[in-house]
Amino acid sequence: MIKIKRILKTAFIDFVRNGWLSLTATLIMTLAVLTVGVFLLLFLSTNKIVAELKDKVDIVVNFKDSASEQIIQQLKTDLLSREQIKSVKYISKEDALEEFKSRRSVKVEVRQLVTPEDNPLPRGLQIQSVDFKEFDYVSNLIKSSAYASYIDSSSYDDNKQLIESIDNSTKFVQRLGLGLSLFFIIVATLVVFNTVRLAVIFRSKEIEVMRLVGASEVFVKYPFLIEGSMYAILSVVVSTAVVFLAINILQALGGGTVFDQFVQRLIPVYFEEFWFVILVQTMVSLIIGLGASYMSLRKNVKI
Amino acid sequence: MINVSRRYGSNYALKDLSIKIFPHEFVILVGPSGAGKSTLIKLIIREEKPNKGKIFVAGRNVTKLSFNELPYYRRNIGIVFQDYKLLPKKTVWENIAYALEVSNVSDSDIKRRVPKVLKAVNLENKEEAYPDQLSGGEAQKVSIARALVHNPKILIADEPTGNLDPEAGREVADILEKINCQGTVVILATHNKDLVDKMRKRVIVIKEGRIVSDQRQGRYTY
Repeated sequence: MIKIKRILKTAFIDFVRNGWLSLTATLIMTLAVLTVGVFLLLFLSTNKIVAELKDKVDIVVNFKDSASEQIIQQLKTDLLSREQIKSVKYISKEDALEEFKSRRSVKVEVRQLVTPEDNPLPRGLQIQSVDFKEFDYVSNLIKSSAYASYIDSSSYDDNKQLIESIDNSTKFVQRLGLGLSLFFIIVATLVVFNTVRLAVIFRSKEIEVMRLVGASEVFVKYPFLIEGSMYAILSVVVSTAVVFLAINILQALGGGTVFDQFVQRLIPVYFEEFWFVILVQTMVSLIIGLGASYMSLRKNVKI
Repeated sequence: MINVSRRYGSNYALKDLSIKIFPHEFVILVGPSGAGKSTLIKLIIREEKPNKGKIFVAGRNVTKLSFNELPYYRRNIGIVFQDYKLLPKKTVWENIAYALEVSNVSDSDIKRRVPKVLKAVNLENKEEAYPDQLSGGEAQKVSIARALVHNPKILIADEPTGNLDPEAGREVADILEKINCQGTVVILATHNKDLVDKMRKRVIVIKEGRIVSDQRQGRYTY
């Protein structure tokens, strides 16, 4: 207990004494933590957006009138046997008609042309999948000889392009975020490494005295490790404050800014995942703080 | 100390040196600058390791001490330097207490032990002073008090009178003698001829890394 108290005291005094250095280290680490946080938010929200899109994107397969009900039901059974296929909904001619009649975008005159007696609308299957990749399976299946001749059209090719472009942009955003985070983590590690090195040089006389009077390693090295952790914790606090400030400013500016869409998406995700984001940020910053201090001590302090 | 050699590059600071120091002894090391006195002290406190030979302190081979054992070993050896090595931002009391704080001694023990050593070096009235408010002699006495606070079995003083006027030097030497009378081995490295001649203690003369003379009641000669 006495030990902990004395180590904490030394660490705190040193942190205050090296004011500017501590401030620089904390701010650089804040930048790293902030980048990690923003990246995490982008990652979480793009995942969320993709998940939402997955629900919305489906394939509709339309059958020729020559296709028997049996064939349609057969395809439905085949599709449902795949675990990744979420749902397959049968659309009868009547369903199709009803849906068509309800479309406001179609002129009334045109809508009236189609009647239950003279209904050219095809029967179809509406397929939803939990995984984009499964759409390839669907495409192959409907193109297979067993079904191809009965199928009038499918929305597969249109959707495929859309899906691929969403997939690519998501991956790009995530990779960019990861790259930026890594860059700032490396910069922060180097800065903390040097800050601790300077602190060691500032305190070299004291460290020498400590060695001579038989101070145990804990007393010599731990205050620096605590100092590294203090940069870490403070950087998480500062970066959270910055995020809150930014949210307030953006909300005060209101709609109409270019960020608006972005903010509308990100803010709810941030509050939903608040503790998870803080946890990841704390862990990353502690690894930087402790790791860099430890490396610096190994290099610069001998017992 | 048996056949100890220490070299830096191809230069030998100590070569095949063997010394035996007995309990309660007062030993003075003399010799020109660069003779190897400081190297010898660094080896005893295990700041450095010899390239060859063994050093035993109280029956233990110092060269074989592990990293974790070092602090405990050093608490049994008090060290005093020419430049005092006091922390400028701490008072006399804090400088001495600091040696105990970093050795995990309780606050109540610190309160008990610090006044004792301050009394031993006649500095009871200076405990609130900062090092820059002290004379050279007083600063050196604080440094001795700090070295004594662990009740070491050996006290090593490297040129303790080097920065002091003759009178202060004499006072420091008196304190060292007093400490020795209480049973602590004192190893004193010095250039102070008057002091050595007056003290009439065992004098070991080192020159170019070797012992050139070892006299029971020696004088300052090399």
